[in-house]
Amino acid sequence: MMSAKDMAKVIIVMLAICFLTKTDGKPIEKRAVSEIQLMHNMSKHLATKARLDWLLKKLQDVHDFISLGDALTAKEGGALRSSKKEDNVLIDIYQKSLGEPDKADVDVLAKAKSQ
Amino acid sequence: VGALTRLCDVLRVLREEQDQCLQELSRDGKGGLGLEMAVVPVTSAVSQSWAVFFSAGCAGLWDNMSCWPSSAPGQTVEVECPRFLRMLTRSRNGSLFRNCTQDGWSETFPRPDLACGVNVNDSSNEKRHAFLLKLKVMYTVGYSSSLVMLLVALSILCAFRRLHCTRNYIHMHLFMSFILRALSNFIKDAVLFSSEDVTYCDAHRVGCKLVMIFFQYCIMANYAWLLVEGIYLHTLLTVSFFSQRKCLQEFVALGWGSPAIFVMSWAITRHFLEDVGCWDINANASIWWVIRGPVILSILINFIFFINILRILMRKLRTQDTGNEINQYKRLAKSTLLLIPLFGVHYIVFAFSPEDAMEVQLFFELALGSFQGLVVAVLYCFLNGEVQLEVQKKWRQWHLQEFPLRLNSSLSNGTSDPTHASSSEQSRGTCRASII
Repeated sequence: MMSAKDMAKVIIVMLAICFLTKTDGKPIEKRAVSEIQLMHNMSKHLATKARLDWLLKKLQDVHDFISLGDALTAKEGGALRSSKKEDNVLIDIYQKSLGEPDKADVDVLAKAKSQ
Repeated sequence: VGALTRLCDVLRVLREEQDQCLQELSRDGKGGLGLEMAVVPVTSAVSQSWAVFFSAGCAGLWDNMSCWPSSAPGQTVEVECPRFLRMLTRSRNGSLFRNCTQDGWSETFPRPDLACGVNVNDSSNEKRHAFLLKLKVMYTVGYSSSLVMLLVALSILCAFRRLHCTRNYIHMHLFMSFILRALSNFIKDAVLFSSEDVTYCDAHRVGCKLVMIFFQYCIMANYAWLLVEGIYLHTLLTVSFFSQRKCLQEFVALGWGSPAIFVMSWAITRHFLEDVGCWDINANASIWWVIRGPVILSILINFIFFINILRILMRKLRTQDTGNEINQYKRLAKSTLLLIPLFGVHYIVFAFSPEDAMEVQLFFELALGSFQGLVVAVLYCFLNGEVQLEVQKKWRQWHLQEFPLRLNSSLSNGTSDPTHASSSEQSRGTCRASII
């Protein structure tokens, strides 16, 4: 059996650990196992990245759509296409920010959408 | 704990909004004021949208983002930021505007990302990505080199019958758990980060989750076998008589059995309480404690054993009183360095570290820690005197068989053949735990 002295030692060590790590009641983001931690961080990061890439694509789409609408109305009403140039500049910027490795993601999205 | 908004969630919301909008638009069109109307699919390069064209004014419009009700010329229409954008920003409530002119709809203003507070250029993301990829490369190198060395070491220990004893059986199990840990890492990487369909939330099949369970099991089994090494050496030094054979069964149960129990209970709780994605993101801390708790406990126990063994060694070295003090410390340092990889003592460094040290921890435990298997294989197999002796003997035997002429000549010379002499003399009792 444990003596009272040992018990006291254990309690002091536990308190010291709690004090040093400040784990009292805070939500823990740490996973203790590095592989799992990396997987967690990586998955979270990839999910964020996929979302962001998709969002950029989406915003570009909306611009595309507006310029397409412009083109339609221009054809129908014979209106000036003054804002067209500006749109293209914006689209170019977005296309640049979509790097090469993101193409695959975008392709996947495009496929899923067309279904 | 903020749950992660996944792309598939966003897409689902967007699909819902689109369906709702199109329904509203077509209802508006039917119940309209007798205006000439047509639903025209507008096809752009990658997407399809619909616009309801009226003969006058601006038609109701789904512009792939928000729903614009039909409007009369000269009006400015305001709509809320689309729901899927609000999901990404959480707090900001913004509005989008379009003017309805004689020529139809104007541009959306302000720009949607600015209006709804979406940050599209996050530079810290790129840095994090580079760091994670670098880590992945490093641990892939570490695990593959460990894997090769461990396989060689394991086959050596299996092949030589004279090396079979409790201590080496435990080493063999430990090697096996290291091999599984390395393998499961490769399998996990192959399954998880390859081609993943992010567009549908239920895309993760059972296979992916099984791989995840296997991955968790292999990691836990490795920690369990490190603990077994600790328990074994500690009992060897502290308890004078114990049946090693009987102990081995208990060790096997502890090393392979106990992780199975914890991982299964984790899988069950995960299935019922947090069945999200491929179980790769652990957002719920209390469920994660099912695995985290035993792992931290085993690290802690091993650390205590390590300190205690060092204490015993120090006492022994002092009482032996051989040689000078420097020699003593040298031997103590040597055994300490030998024990650290075997017990996984380095895990204690970051077991209770704060969150800010995450990157350092990942580098230390993954980039360097992946070589632990290699170090253990080298220290406890290749540098082991008994193993070296056995391999040398086998090598000589093989050589003698290859060149029988030389054997004859050596025998006729009358020199005693070392292989023969030792093979008959040596018994199975060569295995001893030598940590000093």
